[in-house]
Amino acid sequence: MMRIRTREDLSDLAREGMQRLTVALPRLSVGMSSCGLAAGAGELFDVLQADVGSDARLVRTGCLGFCGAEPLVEVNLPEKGRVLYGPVSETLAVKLAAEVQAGRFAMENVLGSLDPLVGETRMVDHFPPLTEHPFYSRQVKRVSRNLGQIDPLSLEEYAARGGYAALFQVLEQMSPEEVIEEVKQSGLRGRGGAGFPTGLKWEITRQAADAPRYLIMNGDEGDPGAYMDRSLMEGDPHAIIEGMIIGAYAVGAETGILYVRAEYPLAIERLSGAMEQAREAGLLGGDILGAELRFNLHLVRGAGAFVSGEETAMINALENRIAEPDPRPPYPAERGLNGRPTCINNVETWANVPLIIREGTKAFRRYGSTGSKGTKLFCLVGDVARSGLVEVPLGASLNTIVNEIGGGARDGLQVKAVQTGGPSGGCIPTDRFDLPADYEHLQGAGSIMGSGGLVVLSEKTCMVDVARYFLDFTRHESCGKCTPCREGTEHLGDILDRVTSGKGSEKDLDRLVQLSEGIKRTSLCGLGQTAPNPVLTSIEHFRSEYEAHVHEGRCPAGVCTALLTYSIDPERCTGCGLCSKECPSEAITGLKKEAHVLDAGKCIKCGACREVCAFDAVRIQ
Amino acid sequence: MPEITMNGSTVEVVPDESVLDVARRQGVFIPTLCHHAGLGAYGACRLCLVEVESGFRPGLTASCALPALDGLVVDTDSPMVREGRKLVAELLLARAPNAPEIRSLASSLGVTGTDLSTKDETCILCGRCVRACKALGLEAVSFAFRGSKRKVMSPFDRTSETCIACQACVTVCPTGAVTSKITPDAVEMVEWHTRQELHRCPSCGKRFVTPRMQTRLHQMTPDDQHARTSLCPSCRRRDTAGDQTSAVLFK
Repeated sequence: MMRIRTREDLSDLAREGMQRLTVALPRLSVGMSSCGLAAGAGELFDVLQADVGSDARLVRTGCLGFCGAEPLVEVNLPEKGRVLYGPVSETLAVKLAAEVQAGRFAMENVLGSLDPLVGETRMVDHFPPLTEHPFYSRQVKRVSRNLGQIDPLSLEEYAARGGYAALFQVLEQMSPEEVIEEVKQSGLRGRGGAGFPTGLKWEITRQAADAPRYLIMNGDEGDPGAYMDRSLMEGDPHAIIEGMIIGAYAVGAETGILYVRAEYPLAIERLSGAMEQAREAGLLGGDILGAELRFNLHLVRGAGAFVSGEETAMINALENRIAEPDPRPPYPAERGLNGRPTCINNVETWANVPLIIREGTKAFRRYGSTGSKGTKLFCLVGDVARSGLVEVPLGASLNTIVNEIGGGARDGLQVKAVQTGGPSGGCIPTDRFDLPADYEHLQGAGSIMGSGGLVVLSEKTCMVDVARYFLDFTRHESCGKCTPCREGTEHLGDILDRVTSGKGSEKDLDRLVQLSEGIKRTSLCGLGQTAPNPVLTSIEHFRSEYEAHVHEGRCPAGVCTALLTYSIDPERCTGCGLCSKECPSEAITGLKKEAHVLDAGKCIKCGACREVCAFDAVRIQ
Repeated sequence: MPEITMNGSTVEVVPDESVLDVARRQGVFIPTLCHHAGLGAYGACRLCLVEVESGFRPGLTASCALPALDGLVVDTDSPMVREGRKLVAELLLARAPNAPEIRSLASSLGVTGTDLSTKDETCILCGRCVRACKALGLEAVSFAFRGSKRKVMSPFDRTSETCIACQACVTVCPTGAVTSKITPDAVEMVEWHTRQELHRCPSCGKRFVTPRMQTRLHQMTPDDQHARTSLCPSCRRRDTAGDQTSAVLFK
């Protein structure tokens, strides 16, 4: 790897990257982020490699977002263009390889044709463009623009897409104060969930005290169902590193820490690889790009506690103490790591920085709502038809995200609500889906934006059970330092257990509300201050479900097992005997070809009979 | 001079003071539990909550850890404060319903019982023992596990290699959850599974100190004082008094 010192060096690098992206040989890109690998992209890669051999170039890329259609494979034929396929089975992979060798595109499972990455490559005209696919048509790819498009571990390809140009711009033309001003003007707010203005945080860090100052990337993403940061770290690590080098110049820091949870091994691998490349290219270390800038990065693995994503807890962890939050003030920007000013930003926040510098604040502010500028990554998961990582302007309505992009609920079910902000957020019912997804509106609805997880809940979901699920998560992740969070969430959990097992009372519902509001007001850190949100919002919007549990001993969604009774409809039962074979507790008996009978006393309510029955004869009440 | 407004009156404050410090100075009662004047701000029990009206994020905050920032307006006895403290007291009472200190504390805040499910703990996890041990530079005990499983333990809940049986933890514990058994020839730290023999005073022969404590005392004192730190308190007093008499009279 050559050292980059001048703009010419960077152009040379970019040219090299462009050649890789507009190849003479066909290029097959396999989406190999954690989501792709889980869907079998690793095996697929091997199949393709064996089949195409040296006739094509195989590349491991990041996540193109459409996780529901994984594994995704992009075929880029010289002079023809790029087409995205998904889901790709091993059979289809064999076919793709054969067609590639014949210089053609396969016709199956085409998601769409892709825009040229660089240069003047023609668009494939006989397939609809991917931007017209319902999953992609309402999205705006900005911070995720490189995901799935480039090899995350190719500095050349990152440069070909405009990478590290912003760093040059900053070092050559701007003072640190001007950089801070630019970030302030952009209106960028922390993407980790709280939405603190990023430029202001940088300014406070710079002005708090003399060097040493530190930068931290908070990659301790831990909400169930959220993987925005993981996708960025796995798919475009150089964007994060570039953002941090720009931040180091602006804030005046010589050391940065990438704090990544240990459960993200691929993110750690890709960030480490990119860091090594940046070091070799002279983008990290001393005399960065020939300027008087010194900045080094260190990667630290988090040791598996949700609360270490809280900034003061993270600093404690970095200083070899138990990851427990401390009261603020002092804020880390004033007194953080080793007692020095420390600027902690979320992964997505850092990744937005090069974009703002390169394209200007105007381009950034073009997207977003009044108080929330730019675009935001969301993870659309749960009972949704098209799940995946989506990027939309802040303030896009929940309707747009869940129904237009996500295609509503899976399998023809009805959407009931969406949980935003994971365990710290709340549920929002469908009749409020016109709500813009931005910091102010979600908070106004008793939820939070959080880092961007959106869990779609269908009619098959019991809202009491969901509240209990999220509360179970926070009560186990509470560090236990402060009384309300430690003791209070446990009591909330106990009461919810009581309600879901049919032993609750009306008084319990009032107690849930009273305890929840108290815990929110009195807890030490953000974990306890938000943990009761799922309970409060579900009671507010779905009180009737809670009442059905406590007054009628009934779970309307048919989820809470303690409240269910299984029986067999003799009209529908054909006596095939499949259910009695499947039943683990021998609760189902009957003669062949005659209606079977279920002994409710023996039934353990596992639902196995209902799953195997082809005649819909198993009833739950 | 910076000022804050507390319950409607303006009070001058000195740098590095907490709102709790100011309240104590003014004779304003704020209940505390995890706070200890010698151990620094911790903010865990949440009993010392006050309501910030302006000058910082509005709402309830622990006064022990809130710096008395210039221009801060706080109320130490608003309805929100009383409700918040009552909740904390009730949660503590549900945890330790048989601890007399917790019962009287709760009842002073208007909480005499609870319908929440109760435990029978004495330790309320205020962390005073952990912090006192750390302040002595030992860290023989620490928190283990998290959430409701949290507890204070010696490493792996076994005999501690570092505990010097100084009993600082026993002294600072507000509920009597940390206990020691003292016999004429040994000290046993019950919860830390650590028993240590007492060594004799070289002057009078009385058993008074554990060997680890003596080592620690030596580490903390200048070399020329080592002989004195081996003495029992009575002999040490006598020895020091002799010194000081000469110091006052002849220098």
